[in-house]
Amino acid sequence: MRQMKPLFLLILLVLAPMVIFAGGKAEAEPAAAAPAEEAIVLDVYHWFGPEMRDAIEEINGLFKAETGIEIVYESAPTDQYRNVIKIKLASGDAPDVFGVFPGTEVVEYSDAGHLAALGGQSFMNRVMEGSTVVTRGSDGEVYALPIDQNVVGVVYNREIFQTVGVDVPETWDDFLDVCQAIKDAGYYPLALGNADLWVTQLIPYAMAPSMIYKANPDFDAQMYAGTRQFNGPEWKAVMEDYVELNERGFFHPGILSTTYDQTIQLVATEQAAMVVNGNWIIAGIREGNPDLDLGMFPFPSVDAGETAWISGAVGITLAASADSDNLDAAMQYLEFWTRPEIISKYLMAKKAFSTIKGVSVDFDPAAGEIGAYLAKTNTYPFLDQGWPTGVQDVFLKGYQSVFAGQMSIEEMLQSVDDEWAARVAD
Amino acid sequence: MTSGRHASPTEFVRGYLCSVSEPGGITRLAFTHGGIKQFMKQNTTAVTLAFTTPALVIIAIFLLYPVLSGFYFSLTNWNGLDRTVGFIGLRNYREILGDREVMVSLKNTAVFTITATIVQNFTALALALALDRRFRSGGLLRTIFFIPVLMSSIVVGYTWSFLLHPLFGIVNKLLTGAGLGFLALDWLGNPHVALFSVVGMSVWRWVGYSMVIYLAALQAVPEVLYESANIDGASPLRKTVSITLPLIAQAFTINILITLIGAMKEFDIIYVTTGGGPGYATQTLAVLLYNEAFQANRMGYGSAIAVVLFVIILVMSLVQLGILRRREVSF
Repeated sequence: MRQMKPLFLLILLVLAPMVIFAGGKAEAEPAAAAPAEEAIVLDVYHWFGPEMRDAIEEINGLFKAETGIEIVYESAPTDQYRNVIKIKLASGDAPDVFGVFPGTEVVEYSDAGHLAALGGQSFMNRVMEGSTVVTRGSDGEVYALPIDQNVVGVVYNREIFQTVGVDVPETWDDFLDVCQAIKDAGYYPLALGNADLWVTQLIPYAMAPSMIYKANPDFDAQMYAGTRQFNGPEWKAVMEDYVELNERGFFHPGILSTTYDQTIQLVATEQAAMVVNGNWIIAGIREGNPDLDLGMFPFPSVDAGETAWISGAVGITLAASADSDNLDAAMQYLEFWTRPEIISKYLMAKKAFSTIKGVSVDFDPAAGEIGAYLAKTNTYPFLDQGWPTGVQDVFLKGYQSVFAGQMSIEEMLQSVDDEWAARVAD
Repeated sequence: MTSGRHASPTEFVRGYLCSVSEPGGITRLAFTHGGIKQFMKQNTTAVTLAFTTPALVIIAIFLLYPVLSGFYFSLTNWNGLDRTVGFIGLRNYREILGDREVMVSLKNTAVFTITATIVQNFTALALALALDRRFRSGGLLRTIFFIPVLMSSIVVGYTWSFLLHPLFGIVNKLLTGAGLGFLALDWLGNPHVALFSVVGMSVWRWVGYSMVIYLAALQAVPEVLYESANIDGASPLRKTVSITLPLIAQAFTINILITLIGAMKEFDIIYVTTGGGPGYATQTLAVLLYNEAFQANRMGYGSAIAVVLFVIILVMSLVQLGILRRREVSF
C-alpha cells in the first residue's frame, strides 16, 4: 500500500486539472450564449510596430462585434517578421492573414503559391489602382491589399529654420546653402542613422526619382534588359551628391554607429534640424517631443525651375493565405479594412496616406505640408520594389562601405551590378 | 518493501532500515537486491538503451535531423520559401570558392577568433591568478566578473553600443574628460576598429566563464608542491612556470577549445551591435550565412556556408586538441 501512494497522488495530480477545466468549460459555454457553430478564429500576423497595437486591437474588436469572428493578432519587428513569416510559410503553418512587403516579395510569395488571389473581390474596387502596381504577382493578378502609402522626404524643425533665417529649399543648391547656414548656427543640419542598414538607402531613394526616373522612367526595365548599369553616370551622380553631404560635414559625427532611434532622439532634442526618412518618423519624433513645430518637404534633387518627384510607395499590405481554412472569413476581414471609417482609424494612428479612394486623413500638419506637394507632382515607388531579391542587400552594404571609406563609388556600384547579374541569372 | 525501484537515496535507506527491522527482512532484502543486480548484469544492453533512448530521441529530432537536412540543403538551390527544392550538386560549394564576400568573412572570422581567444584567455588567467590569492573581497569580485556570463548577448550588445556611441555614449566623454580625446573613436562605425570593439564585448561577456575554470584548476594544485619549492629556494616566477602552468594545462586545453569554438560561431553580439557592418568590416561567416539564408532568401547557399564553417571548426578543434593534450601532465 505504501508503494501505491505516490502513484495514486500522481494520477490525482494529472486528473485534477482536467476535471477542473472540464467543469469550467461546461459552465463557460452557455454563458457565451448562442452561436451554435464553433466560433471562427483568424490568425493575423504582421510587422506593425507597438505604437499601432491600440488601433489594430480597436479595429479587430469592431470586426468581432460585427461578425463574431475572433482575431488573434501578433506582431514582430520588421527584420524578425521577414524571417519568421518565411519559416511559417515554408513549414505549412501560415497565419490566415499576414503582411507581405510590396514589390518583389509579393511576386515570390504568390509564385510559391502562398497567397490567395484578390482580383475577384468586389472590395478591390475601392482601392486606388496605382497602389496595386506593387501588390501584383508575376501573372498580373492582385495578391495583397495595400492599406497605406508612405513618402520619403525631409522632416524639418520649423523653429530652427526660423531662428537660422532660412526657407524651405526648392533646388539642390538651395538645399546645400540651407545646410551650411544651419551648420554655421551650431546645429547638425541632418541626422542620419546609417548603423541601421535600411536607413542607409533613404537619401538615394529620395534623390533618384528626380535625378534618374523623371528623365528615364524605363531605367529598371533597361537594367533587366542589360542595356543600363548602376555603375553609370546616373547613379554616380546620386552617390556623389550623397557623399558630398557627408564631406561638407552636414551630418553629425558617428553616422555609421547611429541608429534610426537615435536620429529620432537627435531631432526631438533639437540637436539636428532635419532628417531624411519616411513620414512614419514624424510619430516617433512627436512622441519624443510633442511641442516641436515639424514640417516635411520633398528632397529637392532638382535645378531651378524643375519640380522634384517624390519617393512614395505602398508601405503596408494585408494578404490572405491560400492555405487558410477560413478563407471566407479572411476575405471578410480584408473587406472590413477597405471601409473608409475603418481605414481612417488606422491611418490616423499610422500617420500615413490613404490607398482607398476618397479617403484623406489629416493626421499631422507636417504630413499636410508634403501632402500639398503630392497633389501637384509625381511619385515614384521605393526603388527596391522593382529589383530582384538580394540586390537591395548589396546596395545597403555598399552605402556603409562607401561612408566607411572601404569602397569607392565605382566599386560599390559595380558590386551591385554583379549581384544584379547573378540574381537575374538564377 | 517489495519493489526494487528506489526513488531516492533517502528512500533507499529508509526501506533498508524497515526491511531489517521486519521479521525475515534481511533475507528479503538480499533477495530483492540480488534480483536487480542480476537483471542489470544479464541485460546490460537493454538497460543502457532504456536510459539513453529518451536523450537519443530528443537529440535525433532536434539536432541530428536539422544538421543532416542542412547538409542536404547545401546541395540544393532552395530559397527557403518554395515547396519544390532543386538539387544542384556541388554548385554552391564552387560558388563559395569564388565569392569575395566569403573570403572577407573568412578573414574577419580568423581575426575575431584569434584575438578573442588570446585576449580572453590572458585576461581570464590574470584574473584567476589574482583571485587565487584569497583576499577579503575575492568572493565578491569573482561574482562580479562572472555576472556578464549570465546576461543575454542582446542586452550586452545594446548596452555596449550605447556606451560606445560617439554622441550619446559615456566612454568617449570619459576619454575626452581625461585628456585622452585622441582615443575617442567611433568604436563601432570605424571599419578599422569595429571588429576589435566587438571582440572586446565578447571577451567582456565570456571572461568570467574562463576565469572560473582557471580558478578551479589553480585551487586543485597541491600546496605541498609550493612548500617543497620554497624549501628549494625557488623564485615566484620559477614556481609559476614550473609548477602552476604545467599543472593547469588541462584548464588551458578546455578553455582554449571553448573560446575558439565559441568565437568562430559568434553571431548574436555582432548581429546586435553592427549587423556585420559598417559595410563588411565585421561580417563573419556566421553573420554571412544568416544574411544569405534569411535576408537574400538563399537557404541552399547559406547551408553550404554553414557546412564549410562546421568543417573548419571540426578540423581546428581536432588539431588543437591533439597539440594541447600532448602538453598536459598529471599529478
